[in-house]
Amino acid sequence: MTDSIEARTGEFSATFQKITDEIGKFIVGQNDIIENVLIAVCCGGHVLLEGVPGLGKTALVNTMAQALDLKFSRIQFTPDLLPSDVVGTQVLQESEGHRVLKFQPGPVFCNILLADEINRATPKTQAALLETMQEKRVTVANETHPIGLPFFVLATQNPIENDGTYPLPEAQLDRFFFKLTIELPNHEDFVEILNRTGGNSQPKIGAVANGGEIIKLGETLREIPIASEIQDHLVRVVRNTHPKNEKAPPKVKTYVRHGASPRAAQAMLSAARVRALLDGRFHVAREDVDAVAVPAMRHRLILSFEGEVEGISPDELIKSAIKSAY
Amino acid sequence: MKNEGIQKFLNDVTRRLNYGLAWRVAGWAVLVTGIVLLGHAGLYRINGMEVPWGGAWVISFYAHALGVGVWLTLLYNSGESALVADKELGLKDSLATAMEFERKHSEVYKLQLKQTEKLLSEKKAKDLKVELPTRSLAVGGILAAAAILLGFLPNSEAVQKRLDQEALTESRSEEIKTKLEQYVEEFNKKMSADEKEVFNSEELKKGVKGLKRTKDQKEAMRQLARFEQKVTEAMGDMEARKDEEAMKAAAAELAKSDQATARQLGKKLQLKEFKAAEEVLKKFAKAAEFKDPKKMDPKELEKKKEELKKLREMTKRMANAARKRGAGQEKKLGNANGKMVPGNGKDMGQLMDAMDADAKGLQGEIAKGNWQKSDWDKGMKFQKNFNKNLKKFNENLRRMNGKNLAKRRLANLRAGLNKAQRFANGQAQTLGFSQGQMRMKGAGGLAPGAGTDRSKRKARDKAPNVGNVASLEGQKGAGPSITAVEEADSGTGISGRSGETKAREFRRQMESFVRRDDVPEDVKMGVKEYFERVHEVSEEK
Repeated sequence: MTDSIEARTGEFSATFQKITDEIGKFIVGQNDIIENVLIAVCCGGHVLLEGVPGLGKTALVNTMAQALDLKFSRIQFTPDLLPSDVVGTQVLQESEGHRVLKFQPGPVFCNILLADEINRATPKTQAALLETMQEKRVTVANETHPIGLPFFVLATQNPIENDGTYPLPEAQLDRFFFKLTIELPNHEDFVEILNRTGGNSQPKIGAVANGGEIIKLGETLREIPIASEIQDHLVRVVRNTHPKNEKAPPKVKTYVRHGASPRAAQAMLSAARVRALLDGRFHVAREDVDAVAVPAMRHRLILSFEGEVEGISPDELIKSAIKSAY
Repeated sequence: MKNEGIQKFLNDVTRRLNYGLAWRVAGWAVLVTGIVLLGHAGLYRINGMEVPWGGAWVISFYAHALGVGVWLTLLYNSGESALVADKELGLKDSLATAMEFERKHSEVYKLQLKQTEKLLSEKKAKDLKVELPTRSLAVGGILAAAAILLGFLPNSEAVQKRLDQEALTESRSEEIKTKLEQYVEEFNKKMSADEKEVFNSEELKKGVKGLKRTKDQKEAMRQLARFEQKVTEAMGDMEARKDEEAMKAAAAELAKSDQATARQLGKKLQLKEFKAAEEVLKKFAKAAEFKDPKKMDPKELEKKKEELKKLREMTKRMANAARKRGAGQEKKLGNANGKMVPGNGKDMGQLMDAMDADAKGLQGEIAKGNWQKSDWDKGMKFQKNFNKNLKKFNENLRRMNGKNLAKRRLANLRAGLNKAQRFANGQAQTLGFSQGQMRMKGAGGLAPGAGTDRSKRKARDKAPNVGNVASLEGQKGAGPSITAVEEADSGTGISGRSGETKAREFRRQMESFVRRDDVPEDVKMGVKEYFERVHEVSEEK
């Protein structure tokens, strides 16, 4: 690997493309979703995937784990799942004739964690992930255990399953870099899915990148400059999601209770840099910011009572915030 | 160090954007000019007036000046140009970023700059679309053309008439003021010493100065009416009705005298030639003046006695006349129009009474023929008192003379003002009043009791237009009758109704009539003259 920024950016794009291509061998369509998941991975962020059952959320994460040479774990979140089932626990073990309590690491000690149907677990169990997601470490019995990097949580949740589900708390939602909504594939993609999965042979996914490379990608993207005018635009977009901001659009003022946090702005900046690199540019443009605004903020807006009652989509509010930022 | 290629491109873009901005602003300026011009023209035309071109030039100038001002305010700077170029030319914020980071030397910035240069090499500033604001230019032009067309239309007949009238009123108000100034100046010069003693013309000068040049006919009329009111008030101050009544009574009594001199004095008083009357009295008193009787020639003494007798006869008649008028008569007249001539404590009647008493006393002392010192001193005392009272009497006559003259001049001035009012409202074509012009003979009709039942008007003559007759008459049959029957036991009784109240009522009626706008000035003048004549102290017919 060379130290030249030009070379590193070239390598970034190539690696990104390799991973995308590899995932594309199994996952049909969903290019935006794949790209955004990879953007979040490059930025070291976690992703919340939302979609009806059967759209390939779990398959996408499984495929990506295979494409990356990283340790993968999967937790199926259920109502009776305990925090210790997630982060690990201390177990009594015999050691040199003595019985001692020894920490038994949970499934979070991996590089890619698939938290399947995360909203089915109780809030107590969901909260077990808070420290893990933000600090990338686990503290059990006053002992902190770091998790190896890179570490990503790719969580899935079903929007229509309300029975036996527990909505994620705002603090947890804010820890997700992106929230991606998986839509129903189009007709051609449907046919292709059947073709690929209906036969005896399955496409084989090979590892095309390792953890070190992923970390390197993160370092490269942080070198991409952003002009103050563009950064101002980014801040305006985020601030426009706050109902108390004078310049916020009327819709936001009516339907939003709390807007996006500075963490959202950080996520947008990182994601915009990745998009700039993928576009072959050495600077961030306003279109990059606008493109990542929706996935980065849609789970961070807390709607007001009116917004909830009228079923206002956060995506629509974010688009109006973008429009009023110009 | 600035990148020349990027800078040049940016300059080109800025010029291009400012050029486009100039067109947009010009389009708005033309549209706004058209709208304002049409509004301006429409406003005048709705009122039937010719559109003043000056206003159109001013509007155009300000609209264009405003346009230039707006253009200068909105001019693009390089930062704004970069953002617009990024957006319009699809540069994905390359230019804005390059501008910000052009002085940085890190590798990534150089790469960005290089990338921008490459991108710009494929673009041209001319690729930025400059859309000519054809729609606003066309609409603005059409509106302006419509406004110009409206500008060619002349004033409507009514407006033209009004403007002419305003111009006429303005010039006439100015002319009236000039003439009045001349008149008052002349008035002042021609006033005699007696008049100057009783009348201060400074108030008149102030009144004339207060007249303003105006286009408004009503305002001109109001100004003249206010001035006329001052003149009328000044005329009121010149009234000496009570003394004139006394002089009239004295004249009547003196006319009965056998003496030619007394009758002559009576005639003078009757004709209100007070100056001449004063001379006659002075002459008389001089002739009847006694010195020390011991030193006098007996023949001369006899002559003096004879003169004193004549004088006594005269003063007696005058005192009788004064007494005849009596307290009841004085009470009836009241003080409203019976002001005494200011200057001393007694009125003319009292003075005449006192003079007669002194003359009687002197005559008595002389008749005694006893020239002892103490007796003569008594006679001298009567003579002195008589002379003192005569002097006062003469002073009063002079004042009355001055007042009479001033009153006549003021009456002339008021007659002139009436003409001026006719002139101001277009009822007369010439102003031409002068100092020499006196009150028209017979104006305002004949004096009370001097009328005739013979009509001067021919049968075919139309009734003169004296305004709204219906409103003059009021609602017939409605309201109480204003006629009051004065009851008295006999013809010699004194009515209980106060003459003052009646006089006030007449004055109020006259004033309300002459203030009406719909009554021609000629008629007003006639009414005023008539009412003044009614109350005038003149020879009995």
